Amino acid sequence: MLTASSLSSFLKCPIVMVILIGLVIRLVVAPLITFSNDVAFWMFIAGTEEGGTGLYETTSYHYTPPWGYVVAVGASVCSLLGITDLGTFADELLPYTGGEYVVLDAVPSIAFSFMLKVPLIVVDLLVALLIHRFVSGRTGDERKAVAASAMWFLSPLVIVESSMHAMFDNIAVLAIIVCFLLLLDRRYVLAGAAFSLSVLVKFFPVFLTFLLIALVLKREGVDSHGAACVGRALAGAIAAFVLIELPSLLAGDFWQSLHFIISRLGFTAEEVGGIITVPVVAAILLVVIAAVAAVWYMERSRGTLSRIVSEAGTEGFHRRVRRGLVMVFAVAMIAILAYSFVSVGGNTAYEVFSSFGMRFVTVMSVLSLLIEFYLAYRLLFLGDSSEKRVATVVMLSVAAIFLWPPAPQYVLLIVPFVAVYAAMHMPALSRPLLMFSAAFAVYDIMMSNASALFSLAEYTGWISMDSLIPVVEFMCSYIGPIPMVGVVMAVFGIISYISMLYIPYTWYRAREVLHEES
Amino acid sequence: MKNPEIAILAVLVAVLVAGWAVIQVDIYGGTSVKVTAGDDGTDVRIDGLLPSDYHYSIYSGADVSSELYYWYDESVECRSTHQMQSDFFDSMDALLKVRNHEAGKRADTQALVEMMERTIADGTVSKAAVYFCGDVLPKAIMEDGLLDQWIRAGGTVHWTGNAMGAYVTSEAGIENWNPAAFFPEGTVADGSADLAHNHTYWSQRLMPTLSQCTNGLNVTALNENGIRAVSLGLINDDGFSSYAVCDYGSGRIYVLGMYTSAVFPAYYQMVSADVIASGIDTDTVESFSGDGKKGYWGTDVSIDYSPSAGDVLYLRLGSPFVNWATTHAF
Repeated sequence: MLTASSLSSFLKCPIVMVILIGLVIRLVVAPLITFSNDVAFWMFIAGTEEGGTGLYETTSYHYTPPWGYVVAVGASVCSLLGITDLGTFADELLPYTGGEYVVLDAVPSIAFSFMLKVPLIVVDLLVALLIHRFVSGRTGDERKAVAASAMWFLSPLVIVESSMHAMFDNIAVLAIIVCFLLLLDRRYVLAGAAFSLSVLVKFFPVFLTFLLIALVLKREGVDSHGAACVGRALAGAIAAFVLIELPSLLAGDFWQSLHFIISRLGFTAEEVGGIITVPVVAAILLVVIAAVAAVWYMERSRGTLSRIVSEAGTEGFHRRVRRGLVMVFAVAMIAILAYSFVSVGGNTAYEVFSSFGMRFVTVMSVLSLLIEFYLAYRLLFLGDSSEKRVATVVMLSVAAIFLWPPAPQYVLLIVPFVAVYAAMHMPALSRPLLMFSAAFAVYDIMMSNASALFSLAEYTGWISMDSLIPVVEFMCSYIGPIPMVGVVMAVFGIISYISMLYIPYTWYRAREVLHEES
Repeated sequence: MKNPEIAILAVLVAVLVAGWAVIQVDIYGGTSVKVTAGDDGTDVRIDGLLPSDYHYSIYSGADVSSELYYWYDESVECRSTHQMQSDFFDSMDALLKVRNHEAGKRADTQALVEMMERTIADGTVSKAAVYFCGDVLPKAIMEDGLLDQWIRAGGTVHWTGNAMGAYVTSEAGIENWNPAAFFPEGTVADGSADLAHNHTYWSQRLMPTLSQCTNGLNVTALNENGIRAVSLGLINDDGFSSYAVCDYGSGRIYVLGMYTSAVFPAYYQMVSADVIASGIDTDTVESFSGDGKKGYWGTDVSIDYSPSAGDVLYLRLGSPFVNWATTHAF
């Protein structure tokens, strides 16, 4: 039976305090501040979905299907609760639309925005609880578990993304954490499914593929048993991918549904769809099957794979891997440069450079992938198997995903992994993590700027739209030929990017100190 | 809980399945509207599953084209890509579907020529409309004046892009043509973004944003030239409209003042779909309108207005973006 004293002691429990503080902040902020532009898109999607229009039938939805499904559920819950006012138009904003600084005259209602934020706040909470459970289970230290949870749940960036921006990256974070936990539990099929779900929510966890494979093999052995376990995870991942994408496949919208992923690589869905046709897919499958058969045959007849595995930890092999990765990067750079040259017809050096610049993200993604591969290789074949070392590789792998200056919501993925590592192994990372979270939160708020208060102005008398217009005008202004929004983006983006690099830098310095002490 | 991660995964899957199901179930498409008109007014009943805001208008002089064609020809180069045009028309179809309007039929240049010649010959031009979003016209309907003749005979054209007639295309490629082929010089915006800014504006209910004035018609100047033109969207101080319709012989031309490559075109296409589904044109007068909120399982709306024969009731559900709409002709 609940008594006053048991309630009091429950509320004094540190994790409960963290959760209550985090929830109170979110529930206060969520109705007041809404990054209007993105939520206006969710409003549009909700309207068309309810009308029976599929996700990709109109040219409005550019993400993979999962978030569209969540919006559909959210909008239906709104309707069931009688919330029918999804948003409105603000005439005052019309003169500022269509410029460099994105302003939409469509302003979502407070009720609709709040209803979409609720599931995202629940996701924040679930991640916090999973972090707490994991750290507590591993260390038996409640203080560390609470600290790790707090670094996530009270992170300014996490609060901004779920409760102001209504961006769904935290669902990808939740799914990838579930994937890691299932992997530790040796539930490889489900882990693979969670991995696919995470990638299909927001792409970036795909960079952790090498790491996840290395973790399975590290645990199960680099042998046929380990390969079978990887195979099970792969089967789960493929099955989940196909199931989630099935409606798009059946509707003929498959490549369009992958627009966000494909555009990260500097291509359009149409370009990729034109290249990857059914015969090409069949040919790739045949090549993969032939390669697996060849490896199997060479292993059976000459023990080639076993020899490579036994040599993989030697210094000579390590040197060859590093050299090979540098070669791969050089070839990739040349290939991307050549494609840039061909795609613009090679008219002028400026055009080639511009086209190459457009593919900067692709180049940095290749670099990220190679670093991810190297870290996974090191985890698998070099050094000891201590939990701290594994955790270090996981933390560094996640931190290495975003080598190009990313949008604030993307880097949410970094927060839980660094938080757990800081709490369990390196408290010195707590401060850089807080700085990183604060810098990206401020960056996102500055980019949203006055639009964060449009809903409040339209739906309450607390602030007038007229009072926000000067700020909108400022963001729409120019310094010479340079748009002000570009200046704001550059200043806050650079500060945020430096704060992100400060995390591995701090780890490196702290590691050196530890080495010196030992 | 022993395995919370499995429970979380299950919940995530359940949410996705529920979302997919919501999209598949045509909640508003299943809505039925019963309109009855008595001597003392009109009663409308909206049935359906979920509540929604609604808006109705009764238009006099609206004229819905029964056959909509999209000019789409992959054999000729256009100023906007074929993929953009294809996506644009797919999107239009989806938006028309939820407005209970037939989808458009894609016609290449040859099919378009045949349709125009056929409808002129059998006198059914006024039932047909053609949508161009390639920012270029096919040379085959320009060089012998077929398009001009067809519109003057009562055809309807929906246009988006630079000045209509400024460019034509054929298998030989894109050519400069005559920017004043359909509208007098100075009555079409020159693509300058400045037109969209630093102006006061006047708005009405069907409103694409003012930024679409960049390629819009100057309705004030057209009217001064004796060409009847009406703004359906927004209009700036100089008279440029984000979305306008003007008379052309017995036919009409609608100009949505945007490029096909505009960011988030569906936002503006919704207005275009409303115009097509409701049939409003230069003759149309909104004689009655109102707002309300539909409750669960049906709402009765009493409109204290006696419609005349030929009037059109256009009912839209959803705020502010349309979830579902329908036209009822009296």
